[in-house]
Amino acid sequence: MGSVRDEIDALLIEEFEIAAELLVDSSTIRDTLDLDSLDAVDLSVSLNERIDIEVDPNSFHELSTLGDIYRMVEDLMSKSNR
Amino acid sequence: MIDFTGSGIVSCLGQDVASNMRALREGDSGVSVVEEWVQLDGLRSHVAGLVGDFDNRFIPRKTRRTMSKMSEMLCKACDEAMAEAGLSREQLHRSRVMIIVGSTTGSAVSFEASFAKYHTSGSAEGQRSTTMFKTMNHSVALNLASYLGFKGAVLSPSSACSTGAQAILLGGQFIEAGVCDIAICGGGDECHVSTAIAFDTLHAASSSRNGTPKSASRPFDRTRDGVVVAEGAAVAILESKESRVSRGAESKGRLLGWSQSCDGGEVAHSTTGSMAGNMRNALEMAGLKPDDVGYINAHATSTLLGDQYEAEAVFDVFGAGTAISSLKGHMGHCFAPCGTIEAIVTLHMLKTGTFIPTLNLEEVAPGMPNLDYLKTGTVLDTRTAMSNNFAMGGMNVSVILGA
Repeated sequence: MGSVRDEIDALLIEEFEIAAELLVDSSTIRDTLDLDSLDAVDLSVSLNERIDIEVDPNSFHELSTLGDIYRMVEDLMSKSNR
Repeated sequence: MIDFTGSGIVSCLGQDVASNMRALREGDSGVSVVEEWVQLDGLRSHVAGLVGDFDNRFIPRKTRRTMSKMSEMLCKACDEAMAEAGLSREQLHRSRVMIIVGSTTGSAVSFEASFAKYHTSGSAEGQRSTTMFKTMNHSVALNLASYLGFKGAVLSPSSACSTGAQAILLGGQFIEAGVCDIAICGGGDECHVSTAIAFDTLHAASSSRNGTPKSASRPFDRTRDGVVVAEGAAVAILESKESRVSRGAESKGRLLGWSQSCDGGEVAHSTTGSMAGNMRNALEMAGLKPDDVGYINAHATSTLLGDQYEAEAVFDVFGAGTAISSLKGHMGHCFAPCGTIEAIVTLHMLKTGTFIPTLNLEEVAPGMPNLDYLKTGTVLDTRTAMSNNFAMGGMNVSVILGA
């Protein structure tokens, strides 16, 4: 497995068809990446399938940027000692 | 008066009306072997009419994510129909429009993915957010409306093989009743092995020509042995004459009459009596006599009993020598959209005067009534035709079309 960021980026490109150049920390989840509540559910499922991490879809609602997603997932990985 | 102003088709023969008409005129078949079905133990039928190389990227991701292939194909067919009719999405808001499109079921492909997940994991977790939108019975209708940004009334009829014809019939009724001026009518179905299994179980799916798939579907033929399942989508746009003229749109043909009824007894196939009754009702509604109709586009799906009963019904209503053909030889049976496709193609045949034969009909089966079963492209001097669909459940729909 690559880095968590690489895995998230690959997922966003492959499943959510987001252009690679938008995958920077400052990109906003709703306006720039155009992800909504349905996408949050599927993002959570895909993260679980790809990197075996449990993410509550509701937690995305409290985040504003892609950088926030990176950090949240990295924190969860760290807490699970991986 | 009700006119057709636009049409669109996606089928195993092609992904627009022109390519479908070309394939039909040239006697091409869109049927092929499905390799995964060959491997499935117990399934005897290995052939289908699939829409290959379908590129769904013309639909924006957020709109597409709730769609299965049936909705995607329907959007493509609708784009073509609206372009031919000269209708923009913006005009849909200004005019009194209804969308009437349906499918046989929600997406079996999506049901399977969802069921497989929880059967495998033993857990309700891990399901995709969009499954419900793909599997609901009105999936094609809600998704087409979403794609178009359509805010008006949306209906989703579902009567299996009669759905596409029923949509046209309902469009005609709503326009005639003054409920709308324009009706976007049609249907879509995607192929899933469960459909092949269902017909195979009934011993009504073709299995004797798996090695020569293009010859498998052969309505009315002596050696026919069942349905070849298929997929596709189609849209026909109906419009009141007043609306059409006010827009300066060209008429592509007229909807002269219709009838629908249920056999109310037989569910595996309609009986000859109920099919004949339905055709007579359509003639009466249109104010026509049997002799006024010069061609019958048959439902005829290449089953032993269905083709026979349907031919007997046509003979009963229209008499000996009536010209008849079925398009299922070319494209198999794509279910929900077939009635829309057949109406569109029948209008093209009426316009050109040359009628498409039943592909693979080499020898009319013994016992078939004395009709003119078209085996080659045939010039007919007629401006009026009937298109019939008789679905599982005994769902009879007849529409009468005029050039």
